Amino acid sequence: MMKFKVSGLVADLMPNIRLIQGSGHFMLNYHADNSGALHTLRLGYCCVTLVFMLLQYGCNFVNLVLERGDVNDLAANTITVLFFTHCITKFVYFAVRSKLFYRTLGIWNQPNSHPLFVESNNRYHALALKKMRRLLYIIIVWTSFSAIAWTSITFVGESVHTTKDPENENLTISEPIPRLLVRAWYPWNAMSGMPHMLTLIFQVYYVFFALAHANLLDSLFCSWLIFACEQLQHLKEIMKPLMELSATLDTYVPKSADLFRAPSATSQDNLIENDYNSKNEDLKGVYSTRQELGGHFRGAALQNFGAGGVGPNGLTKKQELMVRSAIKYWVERHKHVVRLVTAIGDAYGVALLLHMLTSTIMLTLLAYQATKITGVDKYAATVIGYLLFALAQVFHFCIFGNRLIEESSSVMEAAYSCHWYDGSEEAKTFVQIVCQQCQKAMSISGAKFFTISLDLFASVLGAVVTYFMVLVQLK
Amino acid sequence: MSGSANFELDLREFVTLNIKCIHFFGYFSPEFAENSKKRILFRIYATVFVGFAFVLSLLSQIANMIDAFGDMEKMTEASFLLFTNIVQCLKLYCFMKYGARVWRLVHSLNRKIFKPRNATQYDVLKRDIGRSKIITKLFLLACTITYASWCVSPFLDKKGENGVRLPLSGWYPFSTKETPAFELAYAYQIFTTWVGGLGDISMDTFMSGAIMVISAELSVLNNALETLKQRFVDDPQKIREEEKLVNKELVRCVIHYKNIIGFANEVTYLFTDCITAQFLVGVIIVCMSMFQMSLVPVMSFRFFAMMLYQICVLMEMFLWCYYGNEVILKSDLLTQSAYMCEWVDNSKEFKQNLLYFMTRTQFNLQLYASGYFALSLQTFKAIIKSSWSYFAVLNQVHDQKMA
Repeated sequence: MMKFKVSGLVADLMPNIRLIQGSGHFMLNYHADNSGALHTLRLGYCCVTLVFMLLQYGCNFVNLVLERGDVNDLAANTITVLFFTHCITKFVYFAVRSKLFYRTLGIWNQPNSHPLFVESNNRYHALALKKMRRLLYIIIVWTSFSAIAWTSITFVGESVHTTKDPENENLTISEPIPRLLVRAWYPWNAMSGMPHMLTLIFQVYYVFFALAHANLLDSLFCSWLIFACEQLQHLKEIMKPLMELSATLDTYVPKSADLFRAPSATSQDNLIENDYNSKNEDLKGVYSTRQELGGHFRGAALQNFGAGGVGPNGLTKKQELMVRSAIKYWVERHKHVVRLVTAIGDAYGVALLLHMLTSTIMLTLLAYQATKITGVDKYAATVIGYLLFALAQVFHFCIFGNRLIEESSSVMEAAYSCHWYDGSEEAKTFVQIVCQQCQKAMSISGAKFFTISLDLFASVLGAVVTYFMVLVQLK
Repeated sequence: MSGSANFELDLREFVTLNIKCIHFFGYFSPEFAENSKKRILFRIYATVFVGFAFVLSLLSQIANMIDAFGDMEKMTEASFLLFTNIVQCLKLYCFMKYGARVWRLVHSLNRKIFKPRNATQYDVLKRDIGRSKIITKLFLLACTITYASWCVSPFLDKKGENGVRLPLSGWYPFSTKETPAFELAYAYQIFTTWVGGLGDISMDTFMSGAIMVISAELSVLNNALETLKQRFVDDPQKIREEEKLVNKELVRCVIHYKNIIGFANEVTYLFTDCITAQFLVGVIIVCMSMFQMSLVPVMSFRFFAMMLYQICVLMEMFLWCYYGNEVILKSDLLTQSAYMCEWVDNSKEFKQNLLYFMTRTQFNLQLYASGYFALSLQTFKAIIKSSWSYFAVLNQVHDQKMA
């Protein structure tokens, strides 16, 4: 086994990864010690989690079937079942498609670098890290708060449900049911005493872990998007110095003259090696390139300068090479980001589609339930809680998807707004090609059906409000 | 560039199975020499077969429609198969009128520029050919199951009905109540609708096979663009040669794209009427069959038969729309694939050519039927929505009439 060394996205997202592993997802890589015994233990833990989740979900479903007589109960139970369907779907989806997730996590293992832009790169990397941590804290707080709120609301109000009076068909009486977080059918009597306590604890575990499963995966997805956006910001920032680098010395004096006094002054010009494997399916990293400090001169191959050593753009051969290498860094980094976004879309697109399907149905039913709110009571609190949670989940990934779209389309703006007219021919061609590529914004699509953006969230919200209004009118 | 001998592939395999089926049903004549005996024999076979199985049945349905005019339930029952057969007529006409052009299209599948040049491209094409064959077989099977369930439904649903009725309505010059007239009519109906259904499916899957070719070739082009690379050499003289080579490769990709567009235009031109008619009529068919489904009890065999039929019709259109959508998505990807090639170190000429290409690929390749219906998932959604609203209206009108 290779020695355990984290780099790239895995290193940045280690807290996320550990939490995901802790919650029982089938993420079995990224451990220092992956020997047979420990691996089996971890696999066992995941399987046990899966079994518990499915058992409880089955109990919920049986309860739904048993209580289908009463319309209100049917609606309420369907919403609960759909809610946990989504959590189970995410869990199973990850187990089935974990290879794609590993590939995405490994994509940034060997990014290129250039001495001129190291500082900017590190700054944006740190920014991305900070944002990812912040997101993780928010998700943890939100999940814990939801679980606690759910548990506390169980103890408020009476724990009853209405059934038909066995004596009189037309009347309904209220019958006590076990005071639990979710209504479920159990083969034992969970009304009071020890069975009730144990069932309650099991349900608290179930609710907390189900919420964690769904939210942690979403936050992994959003963290990837944060990283991609910060990389795009980095690329936009270095566009201007790059242009200045290539500007003709007589028309515009770049203050980047001191950039030429590179920190590694003793080294020759560094060029990125020209042998990438762009479609390397290796888990270690799709993108692999080595920066050769102490360089590999293709000088003779480039321009046939005269004896004076000053090229057509007024730059010396050395400067020309520097410009070329900077452009290469920019383009290769951009291509790397494109590959990352494509991998993210492949890994998570179908999950988003399934999420939207379940959410749409659930939100429609919630709109119907919301019309029956009569006052500030337990019912209102639960309905509004479900609504807010579902909408927050959709908003969570929509906002980051939207940011990606904005960032990637603003790269063209940045390319245009730098002083391209001062740059060399080569730099201008580079800007042209980049503009062609960036005309179409990079976006994540839900398995080709829809695009993840704030438009999606707006349409979902609008649909819920419309259904609510129409149903209220019909009452 | 090298080793292309290992990647020999007959791209006509995309549609050979479909062509064989269509030959069998007499809709499309094989390539025989002019005035040869075989050609005349085939023509006779086609006329007799198609005439008996298809034209007579169509006439009977038209007569039935005229007969049942005014009664909504009878009309819907008469109409849904009638409309399918009318569209099938149109497809038949297309194949017969453009027979030679269709053959040219099929043979042009094997043009040199469409052939794979590395292992990835070969795998993509092979996989898509396999898919096309599986889809054809699945569809034919589904059609057979649907018609089988139609055969069986009058016998299984007969409790409470006045005897066994024919599975489909039709007008016959004789009464079909007693044997042997009933058996004859039953056998005739089953035979003709089954044969008609299979013929229809083979023509539809031929068209979808052609669209799959476009989608597969776009994948090949995407791969070719991404792997464009100038070989690294030390000698400055050799560099010029390498630049020329990689430029030639790029130009080849441009020509490939032009060929794909030409092929797509040809496919669209040949089959545009069929596809439009299928979309327009498909809405009506789905609406009618939903209405029929609402008239019979849910657990009856007839309900399942109608549902299967509806699913078949929807799947036909879905197939076109899905692969049309794939074509749109893959042609969108061309700009990105061109960007992902190793262009930074290449010659100025290469970069300029690349720029021209990327400017063209900003516009994706959409397949249109009659210049209006784009083959995409949006169109499919619109079809479903329209069918549902027409069905709702029909239901309302029917309920009002009943009440």
